[in-house]
Amino acid sequence: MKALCWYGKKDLRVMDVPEPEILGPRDAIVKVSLSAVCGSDLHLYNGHVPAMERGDILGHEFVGTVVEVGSRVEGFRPGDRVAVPFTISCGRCFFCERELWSLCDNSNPNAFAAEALYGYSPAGIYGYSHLFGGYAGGQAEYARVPFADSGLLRLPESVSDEKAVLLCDVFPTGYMAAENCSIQEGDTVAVWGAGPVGLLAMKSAFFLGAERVIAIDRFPERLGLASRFAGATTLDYERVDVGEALRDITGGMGPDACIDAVGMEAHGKGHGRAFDAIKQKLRAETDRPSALRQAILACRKGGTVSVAGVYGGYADKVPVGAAFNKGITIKGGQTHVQRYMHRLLALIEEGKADPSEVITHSFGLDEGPVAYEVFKHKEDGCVKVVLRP
Amino acid sequence: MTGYESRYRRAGKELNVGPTERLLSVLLGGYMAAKGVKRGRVGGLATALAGGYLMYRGSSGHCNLYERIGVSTARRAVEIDESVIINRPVHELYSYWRDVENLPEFLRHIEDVRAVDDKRSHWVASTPGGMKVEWDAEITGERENEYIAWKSLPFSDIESEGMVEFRTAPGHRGTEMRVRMTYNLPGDGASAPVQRLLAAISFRQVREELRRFKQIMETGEAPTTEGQARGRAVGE
Repeated sequence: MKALCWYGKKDLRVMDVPEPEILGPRDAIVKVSLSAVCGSDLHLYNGHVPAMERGDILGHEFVGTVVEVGSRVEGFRPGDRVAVPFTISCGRCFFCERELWSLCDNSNPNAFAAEALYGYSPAGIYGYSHLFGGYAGGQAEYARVPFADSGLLRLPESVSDEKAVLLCDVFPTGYMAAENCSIQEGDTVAVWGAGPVGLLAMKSAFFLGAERVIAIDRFPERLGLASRFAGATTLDYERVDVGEALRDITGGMGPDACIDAVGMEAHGKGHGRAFDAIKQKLRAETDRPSALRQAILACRKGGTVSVAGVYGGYADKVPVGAAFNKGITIKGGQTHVQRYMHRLLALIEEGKADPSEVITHSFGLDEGPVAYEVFKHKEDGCVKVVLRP
Repeated sequence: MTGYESRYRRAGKELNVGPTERLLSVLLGGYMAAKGVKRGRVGGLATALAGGYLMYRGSSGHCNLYERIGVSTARRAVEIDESVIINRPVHELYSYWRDVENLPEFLRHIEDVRAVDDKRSHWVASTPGGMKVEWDAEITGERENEYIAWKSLPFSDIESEGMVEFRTAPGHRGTEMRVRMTYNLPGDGASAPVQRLLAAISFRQVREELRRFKQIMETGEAPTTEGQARGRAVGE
């Protein structure tokens, strides 16, 4: 089969590889009909995530049809149309039982490596480095799904692949980011990053009762989408002082909640930007946290900073004093996708949400390397890319 | 709570002087220190300092020179003490362990365990490089759903004993298990395979083995990516 494989920093190749096989009794094999490229795939593409190996198949957002199931898979059979949550979760451990699916205790075969970096290991993730299990991803014609009974979402006919593929990661991630804000009536939520996750976090913030949502980005087409798709007020951080603008908009109080939908490769501006870029190049810091810094400084006293953007290692000059002295709650983590998929599928079915509006580009799997370049450079107004095998 | 000292001992403070040598070191050191102090002057001071170091070396069991040149006269032993919480009821885990033939399923350094009768069993461990160490063991104590203890029989190639304890974890978390195992060289020296086995076993390895046990008991399988599809460059 064809698969998009990682061969090094900015070196992706479409390879002919063996088709996946059932390796465990709870495995399923899915014939992929559509996959998507995630902003976090760009961290791998740009070489910021350690523990990638040549030949690793990328992709953690994919939908398709079950073609084979292991001997102990219950509830799914060949022919079922499914979406696959990006977090691999056993459904039986302490964490899965408490719906902390992305923290599954059993799904990372390389848990010892993650423990060395994080103390304890999070769940395995498809196509997301050997630190997260080294599982083959879904930017391929077929993919193996471990723990299929807790790792598949059955799709109704009425929901298209384009809508469903956003249930694998992006929509639940945006939704969890908003839910983590504990939104109260009258709240203002500021969102850094108007990419797919940020846009869906904005939309979700309104679903959860926000009075006002403010989008912070620098690309006109993304800010335009934030306004049109999510109904957000927009700020271009290259044109305005974000802190001052947020203060003015919120009557001098600051946003009640701030969502960082940017993560470890923030661009920022000015001295801070140069400082982080150099430190990251020198491997003296792994993450560039300029969005997180701004979010903490801008947040109102007693407010919440919700982190949806991915961080991998260590970051410098995070204003912990501001976070402490303003009594800020910081929440984040990889998304507990299985907790949100069903209710978000229902929103889509009822016609209340169409996450596929964030998809701007579609490529064949063969064009995967081009698709990553277009997405990385946000060429041609690119916001979200899907790949069709 | 014993066993923690050896487990958390910092690298470099490793015991590398054998017991007889430690005693001699202390005695000789004491004699030299006393002589040196009595004699006085520079020469005496040097003798006293050297004696002091020998006493320290003997009492601590750690020799810096031995560490540098990679020598150890200490009797090698491996002590394992690991805990794990498993989201299954006590009786299920207890009965799985009580059937000793199940153990190689997750104890990867053990190749095979065969029950000879209700109490006795034959163990085969494999070493890196594919050599084998075999011994007979006996269950020396047990209380249903509480603990199982076992020990190698006399005249084995290796002295091994272990104990696993089970108790219901608070807050509906299943079972908290504590596993303690020791491997010791027998009194009369060791063969190459036994030395290799001792060098290979670490608490990290046993931690992985218990993780595997937890995975099997909680999910029914040990997750793996071995044999999955992946790309290969030409020639790889």
